[in-house]
Amino acid sequence: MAILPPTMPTLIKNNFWLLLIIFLAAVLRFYNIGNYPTLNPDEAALGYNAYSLIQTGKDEHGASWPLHFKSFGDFKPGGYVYLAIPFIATFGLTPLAVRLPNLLLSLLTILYFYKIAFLFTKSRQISLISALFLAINPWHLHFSRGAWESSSALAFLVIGSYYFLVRRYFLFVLTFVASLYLYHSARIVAPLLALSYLFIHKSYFINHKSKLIFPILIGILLTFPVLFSFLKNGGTTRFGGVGLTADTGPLSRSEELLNHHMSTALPLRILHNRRVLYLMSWGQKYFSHFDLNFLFINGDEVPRSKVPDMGQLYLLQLPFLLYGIYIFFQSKIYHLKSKIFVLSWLLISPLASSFTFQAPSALRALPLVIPLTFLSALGFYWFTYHLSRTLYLVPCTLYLVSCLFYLDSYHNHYQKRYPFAWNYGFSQVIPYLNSQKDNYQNIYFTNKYDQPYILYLFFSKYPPQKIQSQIKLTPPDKFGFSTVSQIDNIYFGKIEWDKISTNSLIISSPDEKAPIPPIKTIEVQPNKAVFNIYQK
Amino acid sequence: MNKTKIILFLIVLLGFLLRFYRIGEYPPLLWDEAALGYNAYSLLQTGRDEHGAFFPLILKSFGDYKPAIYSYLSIPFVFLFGLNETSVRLVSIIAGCLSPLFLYFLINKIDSKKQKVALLSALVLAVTPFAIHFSRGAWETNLLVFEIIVSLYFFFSQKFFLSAFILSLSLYTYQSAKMLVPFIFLPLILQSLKQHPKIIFTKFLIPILIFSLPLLCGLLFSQDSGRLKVVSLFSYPQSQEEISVIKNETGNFDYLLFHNKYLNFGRQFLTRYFNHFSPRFLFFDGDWQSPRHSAPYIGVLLLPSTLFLILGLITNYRLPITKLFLYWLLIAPIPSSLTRDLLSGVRSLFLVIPLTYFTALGIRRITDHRSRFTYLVTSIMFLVSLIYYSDLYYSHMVKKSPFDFLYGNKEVAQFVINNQQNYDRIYYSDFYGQPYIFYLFYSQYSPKKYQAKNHLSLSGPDIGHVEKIDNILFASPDFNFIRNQPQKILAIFSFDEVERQGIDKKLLTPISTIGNITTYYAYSN
Repeated sequence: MAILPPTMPTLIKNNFWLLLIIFLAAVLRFYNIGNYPTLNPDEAALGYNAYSLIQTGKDEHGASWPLHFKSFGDFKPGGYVYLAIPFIATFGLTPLAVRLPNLLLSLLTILYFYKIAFLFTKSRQISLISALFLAINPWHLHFSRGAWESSSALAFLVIGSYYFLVRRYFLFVLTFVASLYLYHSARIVAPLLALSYLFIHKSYFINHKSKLIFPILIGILLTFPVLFSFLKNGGTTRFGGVGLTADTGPLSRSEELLNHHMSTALPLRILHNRRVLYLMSWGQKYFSHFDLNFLFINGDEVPRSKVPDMGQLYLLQLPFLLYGIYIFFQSKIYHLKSKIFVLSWLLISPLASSFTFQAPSALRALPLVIPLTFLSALGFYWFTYHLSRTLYLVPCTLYLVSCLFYLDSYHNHYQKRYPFAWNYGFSQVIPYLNSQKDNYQNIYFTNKYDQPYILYLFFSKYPPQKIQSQIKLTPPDKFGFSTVSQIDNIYFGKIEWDKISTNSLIISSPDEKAPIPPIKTIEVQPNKAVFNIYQK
Repeated sequence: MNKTKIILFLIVLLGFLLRFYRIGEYPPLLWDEAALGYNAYSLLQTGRDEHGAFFPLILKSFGDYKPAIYSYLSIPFVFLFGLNETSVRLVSIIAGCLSPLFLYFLINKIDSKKQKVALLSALVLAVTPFAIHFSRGAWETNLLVFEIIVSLYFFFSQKFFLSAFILSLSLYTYQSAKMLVPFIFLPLILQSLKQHPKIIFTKFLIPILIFSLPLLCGLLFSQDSGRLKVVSLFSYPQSQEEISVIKNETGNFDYLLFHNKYLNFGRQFLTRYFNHFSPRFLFFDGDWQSPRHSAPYIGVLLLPSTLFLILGLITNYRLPITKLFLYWLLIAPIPSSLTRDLLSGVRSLFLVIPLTYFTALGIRRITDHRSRFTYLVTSIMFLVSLIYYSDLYYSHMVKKSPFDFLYGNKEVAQFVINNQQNYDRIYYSDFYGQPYIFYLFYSQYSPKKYQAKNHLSLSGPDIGHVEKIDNILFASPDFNFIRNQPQKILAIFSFDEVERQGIDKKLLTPISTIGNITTYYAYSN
């Protein structure tokens, strides 16, 4: 008798709660996504390059089908651009189209996270709570809403991990390799996770060597192109700009400490060697990801990665998380292999971020959200296990309130508090600029908000052929980023009033003082302007 | 049994050596230490404190009202060794090296199966920077922690009256004890009340009540509430600007619902509370709010504790002893988190006790059933880390922040004492605060004479200053004014004043030079 695939109605019936959670996740992620938050330059660059590839087969700098996009001189991993191509081809060059691939992948993350949780706990309830917690998790929600390569790479890591656990090694290798094409940090996290999986299951592989050889060969083969492209495009210099050594603090600390001794004897030079101090600095950065103030109270310092007055997770999660850690690692119900699996995710996730100059970083350490959510869900389940139905309502209500607090902070406060973080106002100012472009001899556009040129290209749907022929990057700044200072008659840069000739349109930020009153302003809320427009 | 005694003796000896080494000269004496010492000297000679109060329970000192127990305990040492840095610090040193011993007794008493963990705890406590730092100075908080451990030990030995006595003593030792100690004892009292309520009442609770009567009166008719107000977190609400930012973004309802002042205090409290558990505080930076409370560029625990602490914390919490230490771990930073400072190593010192216990548990876990090799590796890791810490402590701490450590007051005081006769008037800069106490301390100024003319003028809710003793004025000297005076004047300038007044350094005599910074200069017209 042949086993028939389950029909659609039974699928829905069996997975009603899971589908409901994914629907909720979708609502939270899709709500107002075309307008909020406003498009940031990195997203615009991904979108515009996809647009450029569709129209001309070349990126904005004229390279055909590259694996790393030169963009602002930062050579972005190209995976996301290719993921965006079908969506931009279908929906046109809009913020929604650029964000769709990541939005959909974030929903897949929740689905596969559910499956992994089920493999580990054999409990439908815990797995559902896990999926729900990830669906409403501020950290994951934040990076789902936007073209964040980090979040897309995470999706591939989660999917790949699932296929590893169910022994579909070919799919595992494909997804893990895909993550390498998507995001820099994944290039550290993915191989280490893969190694830890091999270690966990080593006894199986010793007996089944043949199962491994083919996927590993494929994996190595598929990694070569991205490896060569990375080396060719000066990936190492990019690391110099944002890497651990970009922070010169430990270096000067080493000098300071040696000065205190007023001697340079060998033992002292060993004790206060800069490598020792860099190691300490690394340790501090690594462990800062587990700082409770980062996780639960204040969150990341980068406004683009956080909402005001919130940590990366709900404060309410803390007791459940601690309880979950205790239960999961202490009790004998859970298999040792799953314990090591979760531990590997916990320990490996912040590694990539700890090697950069800026830590803790919610963006680079995003995979951390997976083990933390799983453990909180587990803790929540066991914590509420013996509660009566009415008492059960207490943590649920508190969760709901937390969730509302977050949504309020995200949708009502965020953009008004940090309008610069998401380049608020460009979607209004650029159509205006485009309508006035031919009425003035020159247009001066402030560079207060980073990379204005790419937002201009994006929102004006500037023909890619025309930009490829005239694009010229400025010399890189200390972080290794460049920008474009001129497109046609538009000059992007610091507004210097004395050098501006008459018959010019000037678009400046409120920080730049002007000698004349503006003809138009763009405001994020009453009396809080983000752009002042002048005429000279 | 005998072997254990030898090991304990060695641990105490090690603790003593780490705490006693170079104690007379390093680190420089702080104001509070000088004040506690001078008041002990004054009490010894006259039975009154510097302000002439007869055997006070609280010392007015700089107007900050210090609990007096530390001074009383120092009297015998001041009597034996004279008034100097060592005699002032000996109480703290002895408390610091006996704490590991009593921690051993305590753990052993609570759970006799935990003897090895108890020994390891004693050893870890003896070498933990957090504990060493506050033992090497007349820090009342260190004495408090010792008293708490001893009191707990007697409590578990069922010697309730003794326990109550020491507990009451602790209330007169350090301000934050009034909040911390009830928290620490609460579950113990509740549990014992169930078992033998009568004994607890008659031998523990009532004695405490009687012993703390003076304190309760003090709280009611209080002089020291000003101080409490200054440091309390609740004296610092959200600013109007912050409130208006939130209200402008959404509105009043949202403000009242999600951002009201209670929630804001909650946030502020938790930020402080979590700071005490941050890796930055524990392992990498120490007390980053005040350089005086820890060595620079290193945390308050030894680095290998990172690993052992985590291992120790994932343990079996069904054991009563582990539950108890977990409880102490969670409450220890509460008093400190209710103050305005984002982090305070000095107010949260009791934290070191549960941290030590869990570290020991972690070490035990990894060395249990394993070879001597594991022991050796663990020991070497701790030793290297201790050496690294010692270097930072001895060679860098004061050099990095000489002003925070008040470096130079000893040199200046001695310089002033030696030259006092040759000048009509002496200006001693009060830029870094309370210079008079150093002068009194190092000149061993007759307490009787000083009490007669002491005039402390209050300049704030919790801090006052003394303007004049004999021909010495404690005030900021004005270079241009002094230069043209006909009398013979000696002026002591602080580094900052020299910079601000733009004085030519060639005209000045450097008095206290450390590294390439001179904290005080002398000028004579």
